[in-house]
Amino acid sequence: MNVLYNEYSAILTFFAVAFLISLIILILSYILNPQQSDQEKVSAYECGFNPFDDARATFDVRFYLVAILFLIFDLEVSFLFPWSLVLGQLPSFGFWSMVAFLAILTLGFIYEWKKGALEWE
Amino acid sequence: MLFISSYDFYALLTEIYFLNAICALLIYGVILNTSYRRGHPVIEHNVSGLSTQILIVSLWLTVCSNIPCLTSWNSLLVHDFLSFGIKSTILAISLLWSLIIFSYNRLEKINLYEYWIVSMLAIVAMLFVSCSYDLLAMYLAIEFQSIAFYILASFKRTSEFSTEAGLKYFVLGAFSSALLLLGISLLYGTTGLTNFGDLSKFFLGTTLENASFINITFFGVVLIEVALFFKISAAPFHMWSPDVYEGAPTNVTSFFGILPKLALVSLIFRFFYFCCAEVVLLLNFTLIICALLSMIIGTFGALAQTKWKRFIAYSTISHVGFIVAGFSTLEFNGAFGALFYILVYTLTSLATFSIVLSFRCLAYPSTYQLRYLTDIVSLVKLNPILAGSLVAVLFSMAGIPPFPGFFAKVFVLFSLLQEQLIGLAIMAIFLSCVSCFYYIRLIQMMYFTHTKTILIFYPIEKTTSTILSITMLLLVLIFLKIDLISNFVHCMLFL
Repeated sequence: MNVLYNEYSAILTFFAVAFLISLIILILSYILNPQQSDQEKVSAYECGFNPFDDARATFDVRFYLVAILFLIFDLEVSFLFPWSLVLGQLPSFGFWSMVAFLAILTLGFIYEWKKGALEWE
Repeated sequence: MLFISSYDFYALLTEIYFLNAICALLIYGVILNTSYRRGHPVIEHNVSGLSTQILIVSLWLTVCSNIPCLTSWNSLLVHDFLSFGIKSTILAISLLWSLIIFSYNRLEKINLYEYWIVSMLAIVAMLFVSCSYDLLAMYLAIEFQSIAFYILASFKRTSEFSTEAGLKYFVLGAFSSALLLLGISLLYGTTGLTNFGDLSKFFLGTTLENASFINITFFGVVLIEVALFFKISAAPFHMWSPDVYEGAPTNVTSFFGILPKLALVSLIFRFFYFCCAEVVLLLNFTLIICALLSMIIGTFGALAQTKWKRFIAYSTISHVGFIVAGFSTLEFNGAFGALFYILVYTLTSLATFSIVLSFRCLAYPSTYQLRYLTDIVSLVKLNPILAGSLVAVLFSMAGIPPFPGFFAKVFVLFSLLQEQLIGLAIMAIFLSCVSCFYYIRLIQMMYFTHTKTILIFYPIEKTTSTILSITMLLLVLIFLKIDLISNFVHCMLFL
């Protein structure tokens, strides 16, 4: 093996052992299991009661919207953190580039607010 | 301002103006559109006019700026005549394109002004793609453009076709971007450089030494090549384009068909001829195979089509095959042929889409647009000038003199013969003849087919007919002064 990749052998061993162990656990639980399913076993679990209603409902897209908006503004905040730590040592160009970044994201925020994506009914 | 000078801002003047204008347009649009006091006005036509104005001003800014040939922004972007030429061409063609879309949006009742915002953002992304000089800048610009395209492909939210097209494009495009990133990271991980200029100096002389160069770096370049060929829909990475072209609404399909390939071809030229010039000598056979497969799949795929948009997608694949064949010669003559071909192809595509978007058939109580190839039977009786212009476009695509498509194919074939790639040249000519068949079949349908029933066409809108006449003038008359385009491409390659 090439000298360049000598230290990666530990990672390869780790990966192989982890893969083997999880494979063994899954296969053993599949083989050693007496799979006799009757109606009570495969029915949905609802704390011991009979299930009230079907668990499937129409997916409300506002959950997805909230998740996407969270992602965007969370990334914005995660960019704000290191900048705020070193802001004292930065020249004014550093300040104004972050202001430009925040301004562009504020424009997106105005758009989203006006469009009603923040209305939780 | 330690690493940034005012030259950097001047070099990006067009893009800075463009982005500021898009932001202003976005806020203007959202405040008007959601204003209860004004009754939620539909401002799509207004925003489309303003977007055309933004394109005019940015074209003027690009053409009139005096940029010396330097790199800017810490060598992330480059400004030479190639980027200048491609930027001005993209802005001019997108200006003409936007004029076609005016009437289409009004007739198809696409009332979302965000269409124009996202399209303008995609155009800015193409400007960045054409002047990127670093692996990071290339990736960011390609992702910017691709994400705008994913949104545009699924723009018609009530149509399942459109949603499916957007989803397919997104999944496949994200996968190819992942391959691009893997290639970039392999290239950076083994060389430690990301700048195209630095990489070209790094690879200098690798073919002279007897070094073993089938290694990880080479694999990284192969992955980047795969991802870039996916984006221009070259075979065998072309699967997305027929479905996406067909499913997306026609104005978005016209945007896909006309504009992005120009920017991406210039990026491919910069990457293969400047950055990885030595490594590409080993990739010669992959380029030849891609060219051959593209031409075969494009030609034989288009033979079997019955719908317009899929037909255009497959003929696009065969044209891209010619462009990749031009690049496979690894000589500047071939690159000249490829860039000339993509310019001529952009013009022809603009003409094609202006014809496709100008069809309005009466089907009571509303109009519908062109869908099947057989919808154009007996067009010569209904609208002889439109039929004549479609003839000119089809002849140019088939490569019949004196239309510019002939010159484009000739330049590519000459460079192939010069590099002794005779098999590829013979296959190219043979497949061109086969493609001639299905272009001439359309002409036969228009002129010589007699049917009992014909569709009722509305007259063409004024803006569409303006663009159609401009492109027809260029297509029919440019053979008299073909050295306009060829000098332009020559200067782009060598300056």
